[in-house]
Amino acid sequence: MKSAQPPRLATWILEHLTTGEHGLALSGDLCEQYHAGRSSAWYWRQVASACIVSWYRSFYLQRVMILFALLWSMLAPAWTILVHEFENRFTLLGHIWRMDWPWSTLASFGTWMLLNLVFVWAGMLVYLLPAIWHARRIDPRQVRRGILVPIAIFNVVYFGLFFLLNLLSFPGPSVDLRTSTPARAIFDMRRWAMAIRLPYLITLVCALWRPLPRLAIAKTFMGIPIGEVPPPNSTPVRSVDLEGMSGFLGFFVCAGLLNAAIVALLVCRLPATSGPSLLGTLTRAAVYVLLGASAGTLGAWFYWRRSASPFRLHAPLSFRLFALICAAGWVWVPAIILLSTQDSASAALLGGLLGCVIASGLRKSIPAEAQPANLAPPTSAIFSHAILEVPTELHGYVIAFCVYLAFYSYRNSSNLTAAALLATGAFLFLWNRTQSPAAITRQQLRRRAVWRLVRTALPAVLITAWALMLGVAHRNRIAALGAALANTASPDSIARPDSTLGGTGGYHSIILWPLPPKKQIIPPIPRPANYLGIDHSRPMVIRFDGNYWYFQPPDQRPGRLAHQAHGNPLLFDIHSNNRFPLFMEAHQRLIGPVRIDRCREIDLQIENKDNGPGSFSVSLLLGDSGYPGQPALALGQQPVISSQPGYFRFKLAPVTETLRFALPASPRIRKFDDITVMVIPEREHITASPKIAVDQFELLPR
Amino acid sequence: MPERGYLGEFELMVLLAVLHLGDEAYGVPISRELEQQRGKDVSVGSVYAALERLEAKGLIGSILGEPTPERGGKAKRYFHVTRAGLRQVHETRRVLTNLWRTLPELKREVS
Repeated sequence: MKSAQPPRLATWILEHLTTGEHGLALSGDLCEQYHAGRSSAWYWRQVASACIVSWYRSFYLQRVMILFALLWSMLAPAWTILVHEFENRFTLLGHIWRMDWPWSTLASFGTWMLLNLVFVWAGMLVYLLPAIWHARRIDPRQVRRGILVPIAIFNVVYFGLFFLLNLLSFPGPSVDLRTSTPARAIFDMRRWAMAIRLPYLITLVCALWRPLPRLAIAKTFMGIPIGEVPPPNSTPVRSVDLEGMSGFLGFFVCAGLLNAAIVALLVCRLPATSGPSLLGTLTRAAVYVLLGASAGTLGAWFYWRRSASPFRLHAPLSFRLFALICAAGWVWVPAIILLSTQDSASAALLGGLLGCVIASGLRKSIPAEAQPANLAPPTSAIFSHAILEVPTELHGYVIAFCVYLAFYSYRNSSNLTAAALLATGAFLFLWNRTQSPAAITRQQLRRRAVWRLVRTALPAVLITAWALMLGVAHRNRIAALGAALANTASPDSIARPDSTLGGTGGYHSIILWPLPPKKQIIPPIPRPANYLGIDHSRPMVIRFDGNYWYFQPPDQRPGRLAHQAHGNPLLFDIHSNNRFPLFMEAHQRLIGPVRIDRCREIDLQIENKDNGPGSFSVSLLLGDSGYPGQPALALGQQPVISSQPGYFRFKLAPVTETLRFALPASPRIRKFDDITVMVIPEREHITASPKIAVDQFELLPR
Repeated sequence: MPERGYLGEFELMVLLAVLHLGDEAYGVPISRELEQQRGKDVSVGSVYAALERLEAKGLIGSILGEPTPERGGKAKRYFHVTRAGLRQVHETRRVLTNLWRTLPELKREVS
């Protein structure tokens, strides 16, 4: 049975996502044909064809500009390297970070934005210069558009792509900028370079797009062309009123949320001290909450006042009222961001609360007379297949999808994604369930909105303060654990954690086993039953065939959820995808115990293929599995020379290095059969595991 | 300033359909006419794309009609051929006729 109306989604796509002069006429033609007897499948095919044709034509007309943007964006990796060198040479970042907060953050962000925008504006100037020279005049509208569009969208595109790349492949591409030159970077086709080019390409195309694609929605509101007298006997389409208004309200809410999230990500930091005062924490939380509300308001206002926004002239509610209502939701954004960086499930729950607050507030603020009370059946032909239109509730499927996906994201420790999905689902659910007030004055609406904001802002401040204190406590635990591990204290003295940490996606921890040995043609040399016997006077070489552990504090070993793989650590890029450090250890179990008094020195041979920033050192621990509670014998810490400043070289092939560890004359343990190699990186290298592999141990007899 | 260029095959068909339909030339009858003549479905979007190209070249013009409930409250856009369009049609017909006339008689090949 065919519906009396054409598919709503297809009509929306046709009216909002096609370019071209005659979008409305096309939409009317398809509607007429549908009522004449065409099927829904035919309608969908026509809409798809119209989209493809219209966008193809638009791209064809702008092909020179697009080609130029492609070529200019090829220079983006080179520009990134130049900016990096500029910042380092003039110690710009050092000057900025010495400033007080929040000026340090604002200056850092402002510098980054300015340097990126300079590249985009330079590209625009190069493109427009021939046209300006030829025409001998400058179009002020084009100049204004060229300056403002990059400022408006570069941020959104850059962080949107960053978010998408991290969703697709954690933790995203990375590269050591020290090892590349600008000239080489231009022809760099690696994932990192392509990812860098995309935001510049998109920003440049949007800034130079001429003219704006004629999207039909900008021309009409409530079915009537803006600025024109409504034609006589015309029937405004009910579905356009409600859906258009809902769509635009949702758009402004999202714009505010995104703005608030960006500001929160950039500005919200834990207090620097390990024991902040309660008053200081509350003050900081209040500032963050205020920033979240302000940023959301500004973001929504920017789009509310644009010339293409129909709410400029015909808004169902004033912007002031809208901002008051939505601010009750935006105040939760800083707390969500802080909790998500600590991998707390509360972030997702707060996201759902945010959606509920905004949806119920907005719905209760739009009076019932703005919407038809009863859905009268639409006019239809006398012999139509269906007298009454079957209501389709697409939002139910969307809500279910959001909930399922939110739980999946939470399971994978992507709490920010889960928060966004729960917020969306909660918003849709309450938007369709909340009743609009029958008759209410504007003053009453405003009073309600203010009271709602006050009722939510106070708990938001308290919860943000709680998130800050939680973060500080967590940081203190990690610092204590890191100090304890660096001093190679007894494992028993390190506090056992109550809960394990996950990352933002990725694996909880990793155990890397050696690759399976190749089939041997000659029989292997049998291993001795015990090492360094009484008559043994030559060094004993033990090839490493143990496993590597990768885990994060406060864990001391990989957990039961550890991902197990076979491979060579020189070939793997293992990064921490949250702010916690990543620890690496290699474990070798010997077949038989070795007496300490027989061995005077252990030479550890490693292969180093690490090209990341920061140096690292190695510590050796000897253990006796026969006495599980006995503390391990630490043999000290040796720096890996090939990673130290002054000795660093870019490595295409692994560099072999030998580290010597002398055994003490009077050790705490008598024998050992377990050797642990701990890799201790410096601060710059703490979130990326060094690419080193243990080759062999050489035990030198006394 | 209208674009100048040669008429494509589909553009010529659309132009002839507009001429044929006269005052009732809007999207629906134009596509219907093309479907009848070609014997296969025509995408209305591509018809409008061709109409926009012709309008940009100055070969046709358009005016807005009355909205109707069957069209979801959207107005029709009627198209008409301009003088430049008529000249272009005649010129194209002359060229095509000459080209056909100079061709030897084509034998029908049976596959």
